[in-house]
Amino acid sequence: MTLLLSIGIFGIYSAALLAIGGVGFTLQFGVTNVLNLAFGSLLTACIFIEYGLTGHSTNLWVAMAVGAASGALISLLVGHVVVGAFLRRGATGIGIAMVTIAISLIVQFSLEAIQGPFIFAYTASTPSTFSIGGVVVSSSQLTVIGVAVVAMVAVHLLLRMTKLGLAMRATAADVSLTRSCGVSPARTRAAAWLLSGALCGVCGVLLGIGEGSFSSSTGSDFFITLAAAAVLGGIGKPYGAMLGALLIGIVSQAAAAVISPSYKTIAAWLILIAVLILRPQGILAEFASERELVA
Amino acid sequence: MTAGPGAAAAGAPGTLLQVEGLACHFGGVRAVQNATFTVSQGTITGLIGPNGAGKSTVINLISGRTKPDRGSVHFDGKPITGLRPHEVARQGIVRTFQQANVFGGMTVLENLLVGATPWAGESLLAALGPRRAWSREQAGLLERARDILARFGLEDIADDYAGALSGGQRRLVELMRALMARPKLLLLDEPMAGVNPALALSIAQRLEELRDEGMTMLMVEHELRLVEKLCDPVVVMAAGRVLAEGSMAELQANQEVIDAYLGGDGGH
Amino acid sequence: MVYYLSGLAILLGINLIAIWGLDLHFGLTGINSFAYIVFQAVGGYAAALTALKPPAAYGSFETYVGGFNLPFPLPLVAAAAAGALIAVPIGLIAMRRLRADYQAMAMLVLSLIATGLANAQTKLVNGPAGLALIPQPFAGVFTLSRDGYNWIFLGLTAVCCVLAWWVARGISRSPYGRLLRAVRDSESAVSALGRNPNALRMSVLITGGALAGLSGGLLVEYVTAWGPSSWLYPETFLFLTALIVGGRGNLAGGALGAFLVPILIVEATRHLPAFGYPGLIDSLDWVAIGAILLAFLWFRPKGLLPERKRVFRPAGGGPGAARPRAGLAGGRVESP
Repeated sequence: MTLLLSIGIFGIYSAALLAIGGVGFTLQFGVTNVLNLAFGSLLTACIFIEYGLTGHSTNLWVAMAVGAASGALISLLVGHVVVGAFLRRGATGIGIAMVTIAISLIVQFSLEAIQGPFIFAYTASTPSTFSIGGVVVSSSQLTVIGVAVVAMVAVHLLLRMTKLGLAMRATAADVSLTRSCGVSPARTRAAAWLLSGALCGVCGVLLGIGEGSFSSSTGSDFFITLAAAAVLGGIGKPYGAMLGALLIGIVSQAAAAVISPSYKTIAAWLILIAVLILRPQGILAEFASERELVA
Repeated sequence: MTAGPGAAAAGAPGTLLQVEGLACHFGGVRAVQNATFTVSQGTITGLIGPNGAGKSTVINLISGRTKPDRGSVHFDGKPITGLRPHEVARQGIVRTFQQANVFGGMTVLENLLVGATPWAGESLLAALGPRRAWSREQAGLLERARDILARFGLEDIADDYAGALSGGQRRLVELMRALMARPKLLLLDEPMAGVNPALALSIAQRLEELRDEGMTMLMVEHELRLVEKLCDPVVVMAAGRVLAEGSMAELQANQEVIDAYLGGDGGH
Repeated sequence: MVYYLSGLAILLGINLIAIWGLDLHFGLTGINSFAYIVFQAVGGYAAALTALKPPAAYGSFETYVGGFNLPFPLPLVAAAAAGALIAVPIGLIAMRRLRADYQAMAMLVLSLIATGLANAQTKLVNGPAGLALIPQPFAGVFTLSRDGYNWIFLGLTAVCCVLAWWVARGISRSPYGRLLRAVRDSESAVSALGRNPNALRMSVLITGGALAGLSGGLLVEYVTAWGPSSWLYPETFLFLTALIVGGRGNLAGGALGAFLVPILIVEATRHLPAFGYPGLIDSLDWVAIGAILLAFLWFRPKGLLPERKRVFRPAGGGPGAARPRAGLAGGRVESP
């Protein structure tokens, strides 16, 4: 029983982290049709910025706020300014992918240059621990789950109840529909970059705090699992990312508990490979050629 | 035609393509339902109908681009239902596309060379071997390509990038490329769309010449004057179904066809 | 100094082979081979595991599979074969008819997974510590100084380069190469003309993979060590940047890129007065690579030596030979 509970709680904790980042990644793709391969490095950048500003022992809420703000700003710079410039010039999918890779290299290795030979320890103010049914959980882990839930609800409300959200959904379906929602396509895209950046930043700092340390490759390491969650649910679909995050979070935690700890990441890899082979458009996509992902 | 297995199913002698009960759907919408018609050897058979009638979908079903839910396609007596596009092409059916589908990064001559029926010299092994093994055959193909270009009067674009040509010229390149394979059946998906009238007429003349030389074609087309000039018989589709099949004169007297397409607010 | 230059020449040769292989994937066929480094890595490991003796012979300070201690040239053959073989699973997973950037991401993620696997499974290739003491070809056959051996190795590299050049050039000029370029432009048209685009792409993925594997085998035998940190995902983009800078779809462009990017930029910075901590310059090299990639994508995406138009000699002039002719800006050279 304790085992199941442990899998459940820590599975949901993993899912929470994945959901925040995954929804950010997939929402931005859904609205702007740009696959941002620099997302992992942006994640890392937000951790560095937050750490730089507040030091190695920080208040969780402050960290999230700083993370969100820096994430939103960097994302806007990268997405709207740099990638946008290439898009306005008529660059196509693979060209844009290479642009995001170039940005990823610049960001990740600039961070590596800054980091130097040091390792940074990163903790939130000492969390208290609880025991739930025999499983020891820290308060920061519970906070992460709570934050994720709030973020998911907020995203849901944004998408369903606001004009901007409607415009985002319209753009994701068909760009020409955006104008009829009363928001300009440019503004909708900018909003998507901002929002995904904010989610990226929050995910980053929570990831760093959760691991207790970080390096210049933290984000790109996490990117595989993040991509797995987004791809599983259907890339471009925020609800898909939530579903994907939940599935991967729980399955990988179960694998870690039942088989061995190293299987936590292996499980995510296997799921990703299986999705790419069997159903690359993801669970929630209606048919194969949606978004022209699969010819 | 050839009396192979399934010749009985192929229908009357002279039938090259037999489509029977084809149906398919996209995301809940039935695009084609119970399409049945034949294409006879040596004809330019027209396929007409209002937008959304399912004409291009039928071409996709025959060429293998889309898998049918039900029904069958027989070519030259052999069943080809459900074969993949390159397998269908290898039977001798070559199709063109609604948007002129040329290889933009290659010259017109290179485009035509790719059009030839698959040959031994184009394998990876041949590429790693001595040039002599394939250069002679390639020279032969080049000669044929230049002949086709000359026939269409387009020798001077032989070395132009296909992607740099005008829309009408690209359609011609796609057609010439299809001819390189000496297909038994040519599926043309709106070959004149967006082409200026003078060019359309000259393309029509080429198609007539090809028919007189014995080539069979199935042509989707909106421009009814061209259909009248070129096609006999003509198949009419509407809302995913085949309404009728016959000569233009017969169809123009068919009330159902008039209501759906030809009369009043029908047309294109 | 001479030792340094011969070593540089060896690295240039190894990079040439790798970059020409990537050009087959990316330049000629339009495959977004963002997992390319994995082909080289697998080749390197195959050469290492074939050339090394079993772990026990070294006191078992490393754990790995294989250890067959085979002599030259078998490790290099194994390297090329491994690069070719790994193309099959990579192709089956990521080379579906996915849209270009999605395919790129799939490949990138496979590259990350491969690194994770090598790090995690320590019994396979000794995990993060990597393999060391890899025997070199002809070691012990000649009693040579360090300088002398370099020349031998340079000769070996040169032979492999010629082989790679012969393969890449043969493919580029052949009807097969033309089909690959057709697949790059329009897969649907290729199908409509009776060829199987998936089979074509897989065959070139395998061939380019073999070249990448060979380059990995040579590299491993030269530096005698190989670990996951030698083949992280950015390495693919070192080669890719070289192609973007030098020019795709032609051997000269690949060669120019091989010289400018991995050699000139990386080696030139090695000679800057050492500043900061050790390793800082390496990080900055990568920042520079990213910046150069971005710059070329903006200013000159076709590269310094773009692919040239192929013009045939007109009928009447012997067997029609396809020779790439200069495609001058806007105009074209009339064949005589």
